[in-house]
Amino acid sequence: MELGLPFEPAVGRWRGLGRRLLSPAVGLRVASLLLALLVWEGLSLVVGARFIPSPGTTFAELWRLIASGAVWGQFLITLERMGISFALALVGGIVVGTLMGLYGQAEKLLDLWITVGLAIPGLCYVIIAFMWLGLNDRAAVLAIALSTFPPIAINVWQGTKAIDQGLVDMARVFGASSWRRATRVVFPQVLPYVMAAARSGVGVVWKVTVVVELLGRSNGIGYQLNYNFQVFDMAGVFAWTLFFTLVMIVIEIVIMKPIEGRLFRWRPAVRG
Amino acid sequence: MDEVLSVRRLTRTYRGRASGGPVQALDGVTFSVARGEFVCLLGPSGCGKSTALNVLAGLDRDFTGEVGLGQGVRIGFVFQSPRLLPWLTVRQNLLFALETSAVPRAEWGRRADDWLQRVGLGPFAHLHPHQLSGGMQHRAAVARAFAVDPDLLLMDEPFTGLDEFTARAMRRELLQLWRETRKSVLFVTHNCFEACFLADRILVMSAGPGRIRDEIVVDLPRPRDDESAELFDRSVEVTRAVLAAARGAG
Repeated sequence: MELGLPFEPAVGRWRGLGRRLLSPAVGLRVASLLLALLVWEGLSLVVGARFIPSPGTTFAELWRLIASGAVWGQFLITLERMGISFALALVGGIVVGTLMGLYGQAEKLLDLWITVGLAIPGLCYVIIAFMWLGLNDRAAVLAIALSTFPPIAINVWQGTKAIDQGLVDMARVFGASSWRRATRVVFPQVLPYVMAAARSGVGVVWKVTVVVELLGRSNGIGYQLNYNFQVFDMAGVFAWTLFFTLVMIVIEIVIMKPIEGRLFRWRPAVRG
Repeated sequence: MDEVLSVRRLTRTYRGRASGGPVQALDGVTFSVARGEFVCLLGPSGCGKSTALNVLAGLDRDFTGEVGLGQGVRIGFVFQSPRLLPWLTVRQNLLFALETSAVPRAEWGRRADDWLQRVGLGPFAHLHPHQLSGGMQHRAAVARAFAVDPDLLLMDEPFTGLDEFTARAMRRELLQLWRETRKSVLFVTHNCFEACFLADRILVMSAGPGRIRDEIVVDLPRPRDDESAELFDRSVEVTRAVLAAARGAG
């Protein structure tokens, strides 16, 4: 029989947390992590620490970089380049994607070039930008923004095309002005696609930024990776890579997921 | 009698595709709806009845002829699919329509609650559309159309997607609300039985081009009974009229 308590007792809540941590889903994730560390350690032993530094060595190096403060300056430089390029690509992608979704002429005019833009490797943009504008941050930002722009534009384009015209007509019949239809009916429909676009953009922007810094800048995480490569310091390469990967995962968990959760609470839960 | 809607020689022509010439969806359609009257536009699919409704609702302005809405006549619309905004709760959906209606701001909340209550959705006001069954979503759409206090209610096959039992319940409820409010209704359907059950007057349409071929006054007493033999006989008569109209058009 149900006890019908008016509130969930604290003990029960903790037990609930315990149950969640011990649930098969979490268990599998933890097992997967442990297994990866084990394989890493094993490979390090078999191949040799010169080529594959052990997890212990890598984390120690990572800790040294963090503790010495060396990592933060480089990280902020990289983050700034990423942020500016990403903002440019996002604004451009939203404008171009929306135009292509709304107007057939814009779509026919641009769809080929968006596809071409997507097909060109990020490295080509980087090289061309540096050759045209010189080895400076302007070229760097331009190259990163150009390679991040196509996937964002494509997502927004598809999102704008998927607008439910029936809902727009409904709003019109009930007297909504065009401004109200745009802000209250169209925008909420496109928003999930903009979020997806931002996500794919974040994935691209970081990869290109590292290449840019490796090729043409004298600071940032890409430059540090290159430096470690030159002196064949594998532990350093691993540590820098690990650092940025962890940062990206934290951004995903702390920023992207909660935003999406808040924005799209109304959507039916996806089973999986 | 006082008219809320009068349509004269309404013609709508779609520019043809590459093959063939222009297609005439409506040709000289003339009819009117009196205040408090329930009129059905009945005909097979493709006869232009939905086109006519889109013109009346102001969604389609590319027509010739006259569409006269009485002084200050306001419209409520129930579509074939519920067309609720999925990111709003049911109550917020009603408010969304109320905010651009002629209803004074002070009454929005009370009217929304009242109409949700009347269609039996009171306890579900704060759920999102995807959490409701198809029938409940349609109820919400009906409540929204009544809530904005329209003078003319346009309904475009609103119960076509529902199973027969749900549709029957919805029709009965619609008539109940109509008797309470005496809104003028123009109801589009291809279901002869539905038209007989609901309407004061049925306008029979045929396709190619869309025209009104016949007008049938349904003088059966209300409330009407789904199972009555009289209603059934009437619907057979009406079915014959629709078939005759289609032959006449061909």
